[in-house]
Amino acid sequence: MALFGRKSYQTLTELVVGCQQQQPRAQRAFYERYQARMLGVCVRYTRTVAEAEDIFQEAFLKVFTHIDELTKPESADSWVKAIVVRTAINYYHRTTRPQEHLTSYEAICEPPTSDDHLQLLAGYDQEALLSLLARLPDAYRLVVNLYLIEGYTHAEIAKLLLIPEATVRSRFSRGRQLLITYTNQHGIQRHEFLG
Amino acid sequence: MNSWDDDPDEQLRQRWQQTFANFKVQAHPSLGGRILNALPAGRRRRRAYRMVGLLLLVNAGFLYPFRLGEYPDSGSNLTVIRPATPNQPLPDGRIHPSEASSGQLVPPRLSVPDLRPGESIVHRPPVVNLPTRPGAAASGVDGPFGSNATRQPSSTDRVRLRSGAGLHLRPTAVSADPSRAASVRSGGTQLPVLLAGSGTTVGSTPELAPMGRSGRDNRRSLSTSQNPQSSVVQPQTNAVPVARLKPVGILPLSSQLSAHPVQLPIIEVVPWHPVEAIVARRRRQWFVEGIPLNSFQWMSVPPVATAYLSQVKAPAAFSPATLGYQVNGGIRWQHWQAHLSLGQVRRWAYYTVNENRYRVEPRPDNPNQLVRETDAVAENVSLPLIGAGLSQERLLSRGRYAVDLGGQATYLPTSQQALIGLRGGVGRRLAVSRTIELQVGLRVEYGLNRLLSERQQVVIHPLLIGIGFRIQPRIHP
Repeated sequence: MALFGRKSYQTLTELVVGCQQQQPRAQRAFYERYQARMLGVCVRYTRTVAEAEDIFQEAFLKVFTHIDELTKPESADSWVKAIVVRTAINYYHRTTRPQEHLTSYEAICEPPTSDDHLQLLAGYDQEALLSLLARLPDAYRLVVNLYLIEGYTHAEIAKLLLIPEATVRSRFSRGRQLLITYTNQHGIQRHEFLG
Repeated sequence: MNSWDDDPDEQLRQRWQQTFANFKVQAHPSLGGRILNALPAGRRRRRAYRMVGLLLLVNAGFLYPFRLGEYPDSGSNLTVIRPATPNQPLPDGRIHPSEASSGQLVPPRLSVPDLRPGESIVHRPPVVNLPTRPGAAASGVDGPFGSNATRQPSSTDRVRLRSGAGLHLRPTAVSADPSRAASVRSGGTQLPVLLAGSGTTVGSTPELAPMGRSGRDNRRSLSTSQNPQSSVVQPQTNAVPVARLKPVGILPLSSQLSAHPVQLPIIEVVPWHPVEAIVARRRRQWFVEGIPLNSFQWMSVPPVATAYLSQVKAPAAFSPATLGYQVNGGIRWQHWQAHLSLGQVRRWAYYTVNENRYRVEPRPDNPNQLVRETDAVAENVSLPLIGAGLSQERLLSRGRYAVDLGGQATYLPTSQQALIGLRGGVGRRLAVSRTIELQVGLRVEYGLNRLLSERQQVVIHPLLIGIGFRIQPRIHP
């Protein structure tokens, strides 16, 4: 009984149903379940934690507002993540893009010296990759995130961002080159990370 | 298989996805609070809390006037007896007490129980001590008068006096001992009733007053009383308002009058708090307190660090004590006191944060060593505070010491944070004058919720200790 005891939600379905009934305890549990993972997603899409928290807050308000529309509670994980990613994209369109200046980044792009740098990037640990990702221009970071981590195809990204697919490919390519450039600037050798 | 079908970045993608598969960043606790409070359920819960708080306040306000008499200072409760002049017998033989004259205190009318003819009601003070007088029981007095009984206090007890058996009853005043009266918590007025026919005084005395002494006082007061029809009991401490209740134009009676049976004047004794006395006490329920504060704070790493912060090394310990002050002012009722406070404390905090920024630093073994950026932070902030609190006060050691314990909610406008804390103290009561007393004592306040540092990197557990100087009207132990 939930009147005097602490009601526990054994399954994700119970949790979602509790949230749909606007039970404060269920909402708290739901938030606790996803907050760390989803803020991690938000951090990947932004340059600062403050921006990430803005996206995170907006996304969770959307989640709790529209959770009634979730017909399959077992798919809540992917549903919540999709909302967070879409909120990050909206944030980019609404806030980040008007302030973006790509020209300054074009100058520092250098072609990769060899394909080994791709493997080199793959050898980074989590924190180092995150710091490199944060240094990318916003448009490139968005595409790199969607393509490399979220697993969207170029076509899907083009639909999400409302830009041509060729632009997506171009941005990803340039973003990847920038990552390699940053690696070269740091002078980090692969064996230091793998070895 | 056509190599063009293979995604050239597939391997890279898999590595990145593996790397960030379990990537988590703990959100700040306040972020969750903001989100959940913005939801309809959160708003409903806040409304529920407000309703509960409002109900508590209403209950406290409702109970306040009824429990006022329990305060130690309530020894001066006045027993108002409504005079029975002119006596107006009712058709059934009873005599209805007349209303108090205009401008006098008007206590609420009490319901009159069924009485036999010739009976009247005297609302009895808490304890009745009766002298051993075997004849009294047979002389028309009902109840426990026939034995030397001492009954326990009861607010509903009444004494029935029968006046039709040739028994002469006359209420008289007792010269109350002021020192005794001050020590009585409530109902301290003595009400003796003279059994005129037998020369016996039926005295009602408080529990703390010895019977023998009050009995002597009763007899002494009887000898000075000249008006057997006077229905006014006059405690000395409230002579003025009671004197206004005396009937006008009654001539003194001759000394032989006591030999003749006289119809018992019907009286109704109603213990009541005079409005003037209550107002006077309310005016005195204030206090002002100044506290020079020493502020200590225990600092620790928040359990949920922000993304910038992975580790806080030092000091995570007690910060140096800083000086501040707090001025409280408020009101008291019964044992409770509410106060508003203004003050200022200073916070010193030193700590080191390792941020998620890196730089390349050449080392002998590695010319391109990646080194994490580290910042040393020193905060020296003046924090004004505004607060309100509620506490309960008790007196110890015959009133020499006062102890209070309660809570306080404090808002720090500079950092826009709120602190809910426990506060308590013990103070020595010193009389400054006849009406004012000074309390000097130790005051301690501990924050139940935690504060965050300016950069929200360190959790601060505040502890405020100070010597309090408090001025307030004297209260009787």
